[in-house]
Amino acid sequence: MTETARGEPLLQIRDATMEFGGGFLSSQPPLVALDSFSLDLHESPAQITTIAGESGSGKTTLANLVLGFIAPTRGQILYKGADVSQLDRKQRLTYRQEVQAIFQDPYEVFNPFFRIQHTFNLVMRHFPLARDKAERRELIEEALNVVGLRGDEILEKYPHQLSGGQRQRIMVARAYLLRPRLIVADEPVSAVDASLRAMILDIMLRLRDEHGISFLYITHDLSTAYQIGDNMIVLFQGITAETGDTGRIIENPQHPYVQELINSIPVPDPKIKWDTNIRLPAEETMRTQGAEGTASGCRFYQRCPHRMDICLEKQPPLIPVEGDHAVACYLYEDGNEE
Amino acid sequence: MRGLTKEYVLQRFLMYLLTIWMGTTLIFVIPRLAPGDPVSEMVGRLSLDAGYIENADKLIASWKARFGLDAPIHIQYLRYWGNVFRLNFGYSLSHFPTEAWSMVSKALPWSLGLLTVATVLSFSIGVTIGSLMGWRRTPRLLQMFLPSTLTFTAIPYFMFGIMLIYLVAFELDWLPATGAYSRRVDPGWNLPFIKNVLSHAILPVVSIVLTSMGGWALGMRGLMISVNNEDYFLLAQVKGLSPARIFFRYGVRNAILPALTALALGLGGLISGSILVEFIFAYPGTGYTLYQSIISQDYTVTQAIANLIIMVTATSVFLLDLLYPFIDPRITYKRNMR
Amino acid sequence: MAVGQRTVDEETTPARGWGLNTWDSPWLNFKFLLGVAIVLLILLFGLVGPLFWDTDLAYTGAGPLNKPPVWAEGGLPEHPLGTESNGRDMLAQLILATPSSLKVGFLAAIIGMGVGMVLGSIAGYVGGWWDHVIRTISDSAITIPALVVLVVIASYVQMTDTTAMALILALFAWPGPTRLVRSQVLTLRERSYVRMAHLSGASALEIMFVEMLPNMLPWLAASLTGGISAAILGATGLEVLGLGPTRVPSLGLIINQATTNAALVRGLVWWWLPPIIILMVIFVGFFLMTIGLDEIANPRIRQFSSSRRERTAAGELPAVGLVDDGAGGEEDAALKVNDLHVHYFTPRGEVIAANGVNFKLRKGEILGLVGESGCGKTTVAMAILQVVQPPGRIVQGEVRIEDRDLVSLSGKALRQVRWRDLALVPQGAMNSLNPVTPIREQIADAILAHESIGRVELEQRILGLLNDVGLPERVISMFPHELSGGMKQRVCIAMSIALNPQVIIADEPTSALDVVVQRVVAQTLLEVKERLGVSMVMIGHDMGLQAQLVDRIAVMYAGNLVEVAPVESAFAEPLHPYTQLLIESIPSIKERKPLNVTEGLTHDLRDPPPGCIFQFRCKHVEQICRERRPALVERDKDHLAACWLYEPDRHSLIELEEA
Repeated sequence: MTETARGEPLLQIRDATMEFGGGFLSSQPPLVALDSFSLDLHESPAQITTIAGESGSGKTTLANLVLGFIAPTRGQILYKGADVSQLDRKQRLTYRQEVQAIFQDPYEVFNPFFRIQHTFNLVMRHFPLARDKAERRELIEEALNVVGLRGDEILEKYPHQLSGGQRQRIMVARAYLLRPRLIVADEPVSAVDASLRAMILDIMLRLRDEHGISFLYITHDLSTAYQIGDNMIVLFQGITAETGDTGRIIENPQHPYVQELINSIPVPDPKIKWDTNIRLPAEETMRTQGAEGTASGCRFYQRCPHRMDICLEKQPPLIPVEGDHAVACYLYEDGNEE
Repeated sequence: MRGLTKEYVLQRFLMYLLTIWMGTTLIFVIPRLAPGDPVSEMVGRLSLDAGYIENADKLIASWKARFGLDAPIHIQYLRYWGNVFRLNFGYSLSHFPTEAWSMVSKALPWSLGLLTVATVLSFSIGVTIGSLMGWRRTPRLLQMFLPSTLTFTAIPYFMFGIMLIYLVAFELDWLPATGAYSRRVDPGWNLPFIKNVLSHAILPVVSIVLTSMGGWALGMRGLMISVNNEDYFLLAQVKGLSPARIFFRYGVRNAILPALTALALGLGGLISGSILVEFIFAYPGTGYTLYQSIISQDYTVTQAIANLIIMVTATSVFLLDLLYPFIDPRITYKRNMR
Repeated sequence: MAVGQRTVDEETTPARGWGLNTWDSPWLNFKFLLGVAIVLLILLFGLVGPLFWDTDLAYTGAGPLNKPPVWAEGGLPEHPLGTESNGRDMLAQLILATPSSLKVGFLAAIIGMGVGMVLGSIAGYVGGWWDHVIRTISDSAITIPALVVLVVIASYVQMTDTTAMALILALFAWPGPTRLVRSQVLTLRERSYVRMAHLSGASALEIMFVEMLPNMLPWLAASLTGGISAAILGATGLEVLGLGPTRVPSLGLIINQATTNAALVRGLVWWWLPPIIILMVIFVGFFLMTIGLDEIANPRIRQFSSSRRERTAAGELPAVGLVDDGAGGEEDAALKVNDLHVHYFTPRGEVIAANGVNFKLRKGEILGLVGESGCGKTTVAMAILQVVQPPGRIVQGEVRIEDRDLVSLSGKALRQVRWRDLALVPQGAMNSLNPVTPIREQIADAILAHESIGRVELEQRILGLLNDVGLPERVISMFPHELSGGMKQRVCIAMSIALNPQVIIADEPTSALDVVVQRVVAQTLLEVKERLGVSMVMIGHDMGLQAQLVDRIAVMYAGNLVEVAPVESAFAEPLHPYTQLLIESIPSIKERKPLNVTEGLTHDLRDPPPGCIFQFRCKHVEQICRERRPALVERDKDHLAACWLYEPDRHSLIELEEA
């Protein structure tokens, strides 16, 4: 994405690289989960930015980096211009308050030992949100109203006494309570049924439109991203393969990997069957990090139907195709463009 | 990657050395932290017994010199290590000029024999009972009978041993109470002697086996129940395999892996317990010799035996560890992708 | 998630029971409570004893020598438990010795637990080098034979009191708790609620003590009780060898004095037996606590024990509109499911997971069985395969392949039908392959259970199967962990066609896979099916995938089939409001459409409402829907639905009843 004159970005990721493993007694090279990843997120207008990718793409690593659970091996993560790993106490509190998360599993999000109340009390205890008990209760009530729940219905209950939909909504209410600027939504709907999925996505849209909260929507599911996302980044084995407007990428994918991905999504119409002539990759070529030919070059080389010699030499840079839309593929380098 | 990898062997070998180092160092350090030193105390006790000893100070000094106790502590420690490595522990004090090592080596076969038989029996019987207890298809009658085999599980070996001696040896006079063989038989490879040795070994072995097999059984039962719920266990049923094959190849084969780890970790405890069993049964193994050496204040023998037991234990654990990757192919396999 | 799924899940998830009322609490475990009672009783004996008995009698020369207990011949009332060779009163000795043994155990184990918790949390929470070092040291330390070192130490250091001994014993009491806490912290650290607490600004200490600790309590308690008995054992061991404190009486010391004075040979049973009995009772008490706590911590064990006390009464079966013919299809059915009822007998009530399911699988077709989680689709699959797991049971119904009813078969007869006629493609990416055996053996297993063929032929056949699903030959000698998810799934497909079965049940065969792999595997499945002409039931929740793969689709809701139709007409013209809802809410990459927000399953599967099961969510609900359950009947050509909307006479039906 190009820098526009919208002032200082809310969140800025600069060349973040995350490596795992290697080190003492390890005979294997470290695994690069995320490789020189960059991203600018602006506060307004609030947007839903999708990070899409399959397992091993580095999308969960990215979520953990943004939430501060891990620190990057190289590179920087800046929140409102300050490096997240070097915040002072006050900045740190602000960062914690303004960058929140909702997670995948609505069962696991609540400590089974405590009543739902505990989840909210924890937040109230650590952030200066309210002065007294009454005000606290009011704030909690308001947050629950946003997701269509009432305090006296749920606060005294234990997690297992609630339905999956209630739990998922409480999780959103908890995040909302902090008035965050950014919510990292890590696969919030991939483990839920269709009816619940719509409900969560709808709440996300409302928080964006009515409360100006930006989202980093992390998912493997391109179709839900298509329904609610504004911008999108498609990751492949730790590398940005394609970035730009969600609609444009999904309707007109440029990177061979993204094309393959979109072609593989089953069409919910029995009359439009899969194109069986399409060439599908052999399984063995799918786990290729560090494999021959991909050490320095494009990581998609082994699976790519359009591979060229240049792809082996160097990882292709992001090449703009139209506006914000950019692709990490030599096919779109000047002169190569059709 | 299957079987042993260099990384794994190296790691286990380091742990092997560490175990020996920790055990032997404890033995070296703790007595020296205590007030007084063994030689003065011993001479003191001698003088108590004899009423008066000429030139007690000289005696103390010369004994100190003989055992190297006059050197600074780090020199003592280095020497001590040199001796441990060469299995050279000096002369026995109470049976001068017998070497400590020769006394130990006389005792070792008895202990090894007793413990090997007892451990193998208790582990295999325990694992069998536990597997049957944790299997849904075990016949109801057996299922009801099995828990009764765990009656003695909670009782320490040596207490059970005392009761056995009283009941079986004294009251019923079925088996000999103490020792490894009777005075009236000639040691050697002849039938009467072997029979005699076996009849002496029955009570100690029984007291170890009956009291320790319950632990393995309970552990194995839990593991087996977990395996019962695994998808592969269900698939094996659906495949129409015979119950016996499901039980062994899918059930026991998987459940026994953590049980083997527990065996390696529990070996130290087993050996500890056997010291008391040998004491109760006056069985001339290392445990009994250790006790004798302490009663007769034969410090060199005490140290020799203690170090030896620690080394034998560590070696057995190390060997079990080396065996493990052949039984569980996953253990040395590092995943390439996360 | 739907209610049914949850009720069954609750039994298998550890901490789900926390908040229930007191009588449901997992802590009310009989073994645990019995153990607590026993230990308390012993403790009481030691604590209250001095108030009633003169403990000065415990010292040498307090009474006559070698007197038996009062009930034996020659016993004296002033020494009810007799005296030993030094004239010491046995009762007084036991009163003094018992609490000191317990004290050593508690002290050493608590110190060990404390150290273990600190080291274990550092290792688990901080990780990295700390973890490496702490784990290596504790793993090594745990294998050192503690008593040997203790004996050597005790031979140099004269232990004066029990506290000194407890401190030395604590040297060996920390590695166990350290290992435990480390592994618990490592597991809990990844829990979403711990990450949430982190995001709520909680400090590491707060997370450790408030969020994690309560959830590892049963494990910690089990480790503590185990640690206490180990420490008592160690202390007693030293005392029995005469290496403990000699001035205060202890249970081990009494045994030591008895054995060194040849009490066994001399028949002084009252000397050596009472301390042993007290120790045994103590050990049994702690042992019961430990295994009770194990059951509390590990609900699977609890469930296993209780499933054998499974209730047998099936209860009244709800009235169901039964279609004799089954749903669709005439004569050429490969598989018939008739009026199948599966109930889960949970402690909190009977969950009706499948309620009168009827369908026929035609030869050569793929029938999709879809629904939200907890709707009972997997239960139906397991019931067809005759592997419903306890506490679930088929309470009624038939599963027919040709003229055999699988429900009535058992033992060898059932084994012969399995795999030869009816195979399963499980979620292979998960844990369906035996982790410790190579692929060769797992496929050979299935073949050899039904045929006897030679080794060479077997090998050829397995290679052929792998080739059929597009896997290279070397896979044959690989282990499951060496394969990717898609490859494992294809191994499962290869295995399912090994005996060329008539029917294959595919249980969400692609749902754990990435989308590209999913497509590759789905196409493999289609190819195999085309080539072999096998009939298949495809369980799934992804309507998009169903649209691509199946010929007919059967929609399930809350244990009932609500619609069965050819896939084209089901998508083009869904009849049941629930099917309509499912199809509307598929996210598409072809068009952006407004989100269709509804509630999930709204009723409790233990207590289905009278009338239509979908009534609470249905937009078109009418009076009759609340009163009578609609039957699954043909409303269009080959298109069945269980809905009153398509019953023209529904109003007269209800009036008739009222009249």
